[in-house]
This record gives sequence, C-alpha cells and structure tokens, in this order.
Amino acid sequence: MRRPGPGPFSRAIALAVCLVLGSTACSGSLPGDQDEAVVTFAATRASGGDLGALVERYNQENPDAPVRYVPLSAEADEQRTAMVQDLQARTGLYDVLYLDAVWTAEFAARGWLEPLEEERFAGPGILAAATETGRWNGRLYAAPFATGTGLLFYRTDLLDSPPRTWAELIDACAIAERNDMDCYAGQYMRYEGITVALVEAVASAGGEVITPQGEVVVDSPEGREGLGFLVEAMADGHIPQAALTYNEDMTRLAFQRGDLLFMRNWAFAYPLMNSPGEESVVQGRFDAAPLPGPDGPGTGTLGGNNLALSVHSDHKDEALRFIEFMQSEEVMRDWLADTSTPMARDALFEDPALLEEAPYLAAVREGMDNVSPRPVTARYNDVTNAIQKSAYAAMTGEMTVDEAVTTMQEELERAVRGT
Amino acid sequence: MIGDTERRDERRLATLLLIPTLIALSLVVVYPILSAIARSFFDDPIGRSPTFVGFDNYAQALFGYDREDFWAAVGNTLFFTVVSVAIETLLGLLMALVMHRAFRGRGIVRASVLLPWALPTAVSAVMWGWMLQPDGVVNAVLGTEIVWGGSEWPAKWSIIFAEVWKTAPFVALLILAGLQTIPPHLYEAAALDGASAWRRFTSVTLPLVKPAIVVAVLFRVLDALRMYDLPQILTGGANNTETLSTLVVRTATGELKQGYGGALSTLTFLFVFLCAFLLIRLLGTNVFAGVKEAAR
Repeated sequence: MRRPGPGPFSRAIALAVCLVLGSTACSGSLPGDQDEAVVTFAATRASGGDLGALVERYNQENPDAPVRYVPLSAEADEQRTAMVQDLQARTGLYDVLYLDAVWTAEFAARGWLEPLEEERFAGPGILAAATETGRWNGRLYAAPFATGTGLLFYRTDLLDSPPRTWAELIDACAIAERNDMDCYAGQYMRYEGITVALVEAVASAGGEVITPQGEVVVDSPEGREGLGFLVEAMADGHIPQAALTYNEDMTRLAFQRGDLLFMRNWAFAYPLMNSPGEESVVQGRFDAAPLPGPDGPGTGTLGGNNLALSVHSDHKDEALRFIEFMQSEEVMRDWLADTSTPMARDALFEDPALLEEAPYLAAVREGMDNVSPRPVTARYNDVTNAIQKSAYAAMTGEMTVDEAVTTMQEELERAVRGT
Repeated sequence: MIGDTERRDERRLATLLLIPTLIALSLVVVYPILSAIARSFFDDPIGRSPTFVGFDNYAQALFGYDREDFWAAVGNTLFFTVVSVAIETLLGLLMALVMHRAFRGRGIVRASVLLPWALPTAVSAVMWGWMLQPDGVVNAVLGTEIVWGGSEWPAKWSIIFAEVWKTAPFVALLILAGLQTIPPHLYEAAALDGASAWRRFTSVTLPLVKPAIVVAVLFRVLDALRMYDLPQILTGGANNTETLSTLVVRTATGELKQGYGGALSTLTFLFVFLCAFLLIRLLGTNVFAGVKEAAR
C-alpha cells in the first residue's frame, strides 16, 4: 500500500497558508520536505528531550530513506490508543513504534509486531534486564532503548546513609516527624503507578504477582507481606494520605518542596530536583539509592521504552536501519546526556564523564541487578486494572490486606485466562 | 391552491434533497451502532478470530462476573445525574431570575455567569483537579486538609461541584430565555390584584417558565447520563466514581474488548434511552398541564 501524500487540494491549501503567513514563516519547512519520508516513527511528544532532532540527525546521515517523527500524546494511555487504532486498521501509517515496556506482550500476542533479530538488536552491550522487556514467548519483538527502575530518594542533609531495609526506613521516620515533614511516598494514585508500587513491594518481599509461566501467585505470604508493608505504613501515617493522589510528578513536587524525607521515583526526578531555581528547595541535599526491602535491598520494577516494528510497515528494511541508529551507543549517550534517562547499554552506566553528570546512574545500575519486570502477559490491561483496584482499596482501608490479596488473586486468574 | 402533481413533485424533491443527509447520518450514526451491536455477540480473544457467544457478554455485565463493576457504574451515573441536575436547576433558576432583572452591570453579570459554560469540560476538569489538590486553593480557602481525590465521598462531591459549576449557567440561559417570553402585563395585572411577590413567582413565573425548565432538565439529564470527562480526568474512576461512559471507554479502547465493550455500550444506550423515555412521559404531561393552566 502506498502511503497517501498530500493531494493537489492540500497542496493548494498549504500554498495558500504560505502566502498568508509570508515567506519567512514557511521557509525551511515546506510541506514537500515531509513527502519524501519513507519511514514514520510514532513516539511520545514528551520525554524531556527532542526526538524530532534525533530524527533530523538521522535524516542528514541517511538521505536515501528519511524518517518522519509523528509526535503522539504525552500520556501513555493515549499513545497506546493511537498505536492500537493504526495497528487494528492495518494502515501501516506508523512503521517504528516507541513502545512502553509493558505493551510488548500484548502487541506481540496480537500479531502486530515484527519479530527482531536477537544478534542485531539485543547483542552484547545491551542490558540483559532491558532485553527481557522486549521479549514475548522467547522471541525479541522490541529493541531495548530507554530503561530504568525505581529509586529511593532521600535527604542527605537529614540522614547519613540511606535505609537498606523497610524497618530502617520506618525507624528513620522519627527524623521526619522531628522536622515536621512527612516520611515516605511513592505513586499510589489509582493508575499504573500503584501497580508498580505493588509489584515492587511483593517482589522485594521475595514473592511474585504472576510467574514468567503465567501462573498467578500473589496470594502468598510474600504477597501479603509486600502489600502489608504499604498498607501499614499508610495506616501509621508514615505515608501521608495525600500520596493516594500522587503520580510521578506530584511525588517529585512534594519531595522538592521539602515535604518528604523519602520518595520512591524514577531517575527523571533527579536532574529536575537538582536544577537551580525557587521550584526546588532540596538542590544538593538529596541522593538516590536502590529501594529497600524487608531484610536487605529491595526489588524495583523495570520501566522503559523500546523500539518495535509494525507488521504492517511497507518499509521494514529502512525502519530497521533507523532502529539500529537509535540503538547505537552514540545516540544513546547523547539521549542520556540530554534527558537523563538511563539507557539500555551497559557501557553507559560505567562512563566516568556521564557518572559525574548523573551520579544516580550508579544507583540505577545497582538496582538493575535485582529487578523484577511487571507481569508479562498479553492481557496486561486487565491485569494492571485488577492490581490497581485491589491495591488501592487496601491502601484506602476499604479492604483488609487479606481481602485485597485474595480478590486480586481471583481477578488476576480470570484476567490471565482471558474469559 | 397547489395541484396534486405539483405537491407530489415537491415531495419527491424533498426526498431527493434529504438523501445525502440520510446517507451521511446512516454512515456516521446507524452503521457504528449496528456494528457495535453485532460485535457485542462475539467474544474477545487474543490471537484468534472472535467466535459467536450469543448473549454471554450481556449476561456477564448484568449478573455475571463483572456485575459489580456494571451496577456500580449504573448507580454512580444515576447518583451524579440526579444530584447534579437537581442542584443545577435550582441554581440555574436563581441565576436566571437575577439576570432577568434590569440593573446596572447586567451585561457583565450575564457574561461572567456564562463563562464556565464556555470552557471545554476537559479544561475545567483539569482546573478543578489543580484546585482540589491536597495543597490546592480549595483546601486553603476552606481551611481544611481534605484529600479530595483520596476517598469516596470527597471524590464524588468534587465531581458534582465541577459539574454544577460548569452547567448551571447552561440551565440559567435556557430558563432566562423562558422568562423573557413572559409578557410583563401579567405581572402588572397580578400586582393590581394585590398578589405578593412570592405569589406572583409561584402563580405567574413558575407555570409559564416551566416548559423552559423541563427542556433544560431534559437536556441536562441526557447529558449527565453520558458524563465522561469529569470523572475520567478528576479521579480516573477511582473511589467508586466510575460512570457508564468511562466504563465503556476503558473496556473498549483500554482493554480492547470490543465484544464486551459493545455489549456495555448497547446497555448504556438502552439505559439512557429508557431514562429519556420515562422522563419525557413524566415531565411531558406536566408541560401540557402547565400550558393548559396558563391558558385558562
């Protein structure tokens, strides 16, 4: 199928717009430039950096097969909806997809993604944990790009060293109380964030929500201990009530206002809180460490975005070349420097220059040795909804930990069966 | 007088002129509805094509595994509709009465009252979301520390506040239009007969403005039954604030269950239709009674 370019009518409109806007406004971005694009790259419009500029750079090096950046919504749900609509309609309008790690299984199971060569896109140098998020049923469907795991941010001006266990964290809450601040918060709003919080807590306690074989095992002593930690911390006031409405940004804002002693968040928060200005009162007074667990270091979940190829693409070879370019060490290094997103290459965690700029990379790397992916299942949306519902009900006290874990087990079993 | 053939020709022309509209309507309205209904009799597998399952999807929503979600959504939708439309109608009536008076600055009052209605619902939802944050302006003004999005009743009330704030002006506008059609001589006659202000309100204003109120309530009820933006943006359906529309969207586009989602949207359609039917039956007779009374 040929991708429809602007017809004579749209050209006429574009010309009219140019005439109205005057020559300066239009020079350099004539609509004709985009006509030549062979491959489209559908990706979020918000990621701290400028994906469009990366595409521009690729196009300069590869004038034979230019890529066009299609900016999608900044919200993950809407990005997914846009991609799903394109894939369901089989239009092939989007060639390369900037995929959230948790969508891989569903998209692959629905037959929307082209399998990728392991040697080419997940070879040595690519972080093994990140590669796992691109796999489904033993095959690689998405090339690892951005990655990351949960970190414990703490105030270095109030603490000498970060807590390594849950008990140490709760003990340290006395310091928060003395300083008239709240102790700990993560993302407990009813959305993907609370799924992450639950999976991290259960995995830290040594359990699992769904095994890699697809068996639901959250109804276990570990499942209860994990959720129990969060619920108890909430009931005891160590986690403020307000955290029930926190997403990533709101947690960060609370921490940088100086309202929190500890915060669970992703690496993106580090440079934002450290950047000079009135917005943050904690510059140079915080650091990040791996998450704590019941008896030692805890287990974070994996976040990240990978690059996948639509089966409906008409220009697969050209698209794969673009994915290869995005995965190159050089591009990943620049992207890390620009956006402070941890990238899926081992070498980038050890680079002294990068480490100086982004000291939290050490904590991320340490956390990456001990991560647990979110449930890998084609029914991820049902699964995360079931987790959110019960976990949130337990956090608000509407259900006991027991009830929540039993309900979650039951609903997850049903979601995985897909009936 | 127009001859028979001429009339027939005219009628044929009318049909011809209507055809393009009918085609467009059937493409954008009838086809999606029919395809959703057809799809609702199939299941939602991943990796194979859907198979016919009869009324299973309907049974699942009405009394099967998902009945709690469905009936909770029905309950919430009805609750939001009844409470917010009742408050809106009262406030709208008050606002209309104020705007109807001739006083200095009436234009400014009318414009400012209408402002909330002019804002897109999604924008006002985001705005209320900011104001209702734990450290937001609402808590600061009230001197409270309520986590509005954090438990059931605060979350429900915040949706109702936002809904009333936005749509009371719409009700006011419709009622104001009704008020302006009341001939002033009726009030003069009533005043001459010695009727008090309250009596004039209940015996002249209310009966005559009733048709406008009924239209406003009808519009608002049908609108409120489809409420989507406010709960979606303010709470995301947490704390038992899911409405039928958010449930349908979550199922059909979030979980990609077109079969089950189709069943839910068909049920929603039937539910809204039933409500509209009952309301018209109930209020419709009153309108006629009101008109007759006024004519007497």
